[in-house]
Amino acid sequence: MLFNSPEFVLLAGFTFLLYYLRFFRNLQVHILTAASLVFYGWSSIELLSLLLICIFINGTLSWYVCHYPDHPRRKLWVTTGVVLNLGILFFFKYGPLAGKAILRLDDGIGAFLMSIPLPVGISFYTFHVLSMLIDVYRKNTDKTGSLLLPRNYWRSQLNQLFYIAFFPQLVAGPIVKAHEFLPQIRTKYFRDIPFEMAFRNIVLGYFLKMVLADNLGEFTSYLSYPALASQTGSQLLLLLLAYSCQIFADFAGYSLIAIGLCRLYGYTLPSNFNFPYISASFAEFWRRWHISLSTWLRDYLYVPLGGNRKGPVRTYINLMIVMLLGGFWHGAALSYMVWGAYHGGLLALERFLGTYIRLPRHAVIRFFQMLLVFGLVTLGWLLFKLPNFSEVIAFGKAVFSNGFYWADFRQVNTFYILLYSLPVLLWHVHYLVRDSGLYLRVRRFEYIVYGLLLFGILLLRGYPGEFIYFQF
Amino acid sequence: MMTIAKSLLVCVVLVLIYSLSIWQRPLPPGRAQSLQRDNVEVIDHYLYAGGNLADTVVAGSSLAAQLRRSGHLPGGWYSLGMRGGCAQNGVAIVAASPRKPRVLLLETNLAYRIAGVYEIDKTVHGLNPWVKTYLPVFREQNRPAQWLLSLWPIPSEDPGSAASSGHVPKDEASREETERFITRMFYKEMGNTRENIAALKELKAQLLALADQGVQVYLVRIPGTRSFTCGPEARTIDGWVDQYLMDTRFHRIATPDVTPYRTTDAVHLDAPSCAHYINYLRRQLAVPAN
Repeated sequence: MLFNSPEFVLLAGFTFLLYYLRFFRNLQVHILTAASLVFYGWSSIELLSLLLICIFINGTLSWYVCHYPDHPRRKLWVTTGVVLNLGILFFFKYGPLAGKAILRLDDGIGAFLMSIPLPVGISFYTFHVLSMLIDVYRKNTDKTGSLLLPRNYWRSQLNQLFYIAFFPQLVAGPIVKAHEFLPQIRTKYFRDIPFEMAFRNIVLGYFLKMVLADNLGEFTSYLSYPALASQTGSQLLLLLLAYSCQIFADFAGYSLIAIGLCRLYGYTLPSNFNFPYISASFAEFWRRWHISLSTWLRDYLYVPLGGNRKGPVRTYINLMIVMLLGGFWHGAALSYMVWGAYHGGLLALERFLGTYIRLPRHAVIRFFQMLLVFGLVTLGWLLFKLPNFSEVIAFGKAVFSNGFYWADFRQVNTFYILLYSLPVLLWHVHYLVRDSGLYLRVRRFEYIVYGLLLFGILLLRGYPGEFIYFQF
Repeated sequence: MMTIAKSLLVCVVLVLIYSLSIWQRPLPPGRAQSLQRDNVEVIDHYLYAGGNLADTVVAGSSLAAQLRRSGHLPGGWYSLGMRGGCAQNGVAIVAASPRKPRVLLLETNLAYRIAGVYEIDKTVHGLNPWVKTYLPVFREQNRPAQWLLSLWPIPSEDPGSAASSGHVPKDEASREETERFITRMFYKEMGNTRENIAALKELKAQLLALADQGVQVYLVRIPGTRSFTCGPEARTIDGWVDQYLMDTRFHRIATPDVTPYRTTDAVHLDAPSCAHYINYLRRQLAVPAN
């Protein structure tokens, strides 16, 4: 079920109405959980059963870990849970890759592995489950000293089911950590809804997705093989820029809608994007792009590996491990690993150069740094768009051999690509001037901007496409 | 809550202003941002903006669309050629329209193919007919993107130019290779004979239903380069058309000699050739030329 489908609007609206009825106040978690199961099971009931089994097993393990803090087998329970979850993820996500790479496709096991369906959002909910297990193992209470999970086993199962399956964030995040979400589970009241904040998030999110990402998607479809072979080099570079804007608008849009919807139900999710394309370094980029994944990898992988506390060589190795696994998390294809290694290498190189070179703080220098980071990040997205590595090579060949024509930039297509890409870039520029006096004065009229965004959603929608991150 | 109320108000005012603007100064057709949108624009115009008043309709693929894009279609003619689509789409649109043309010219070059159903779904079903009939601002042609484009000082694409169809090599050897590639791509859906024949049979049933309603159906094959028009694939399709599509109630217009016709990419006629071919069709239909 897509966020931009009529059935989703009906589900979210109906759930919202029931949720705040006084009569159902004690059943709020039940209502949201039921809606989440409908949301997930809408397209495949079989994959819903996998999700339920996964949550039931992990819920039981987490409950034991939380309520028996001194038990000698506690570590074993957590380890079992982590191995089990990673095993399930590996089986469903990487089974087909293993089937293709190791086994013959026409024999029984190879064909079976290739036929395994990829459960929607498995990468995201596996990270939620792992977060739950590890958080209750590390510290079983929240900031106020209350236990993260209720003493009642079934209530605990329900809370965990709700945390993992909560529909706005189930299939593509943001990846909210258990210790941030579980303490929020309590009775919610209609009077506490931050309507304006939710409105801003939802309108901006739908605009980014439905107007910018979906329209750009109509052009970036030419960035696939073999269509790309018939494009000129200049057209291909323009399409790559468009894809860079599309992937931001698509994922940031999804995250904003999720955050806005959660606000309507009284829950706060962490911000997932913080103007990533103004980053002047790769480290800064990863603090601004898909923040919930970056912080998850930092908290549960980079820091336990030793982070930067064990000398420069181990730091570089840790960076490469984290980014490689981060790349591999995105998909079962060589190009995702190369993408992870590419970013790991850039981070390591940047760190290495940073110890020898100190650039002066100047706006012009920062501008060129931003351009460099944006350019290299955009180049990296090619590995997302073309997961088959040979197609990436075909793209490179086409760019250099099909010629570069200034006339291409005077075509109608260019106008449309710029029309849908520029708002993404302007959105980032607005961040740079957010503290200026003029901006603060103009901000009083933000309702005009939101009116324009609504106008765009109404009259300038693209053809609805799946969210790019659904495939992960 | 004030921000929400004011934003909604601004949106409503903008929609009203925009509606007035396109009512005062209608946007030119043919500047859609993609092939699919170009098709939707054509369907919208046919169903909701008086296009179905046409006496003669051409249904087909991008080959028939090229006749429209050339700008040489005479008054009273309408081309429901769908870019990336096929004849079935045009026939379905004619069937969905309450008003039927007197003559339907069916392009048979790709009549075995089923494609482009999406546009029809999006245009003909659900709330769309009501919305698009009474609120022209929701028609494809009137998207604000097209309005912005009309303010932009860049030239419109020459239909069927190299620019619109991508990178076309300049030298003769490469051009021939590209032409062979495009011809191959054009016929790539011919592999599954059973599906192709099923599509033709279904099309025949649709055409017979239209013939029952008084529409005169003519089967035509639009010319291209010699290899495209007279090659083995074209001969196979002719055989299929004779066997599975032709009926005693339909008429056929013979394909003219391809020698005077020029194409932009081996398959699509260039603008002068479109004019030439349209005149040929008019002579065959015995419609007096202007």
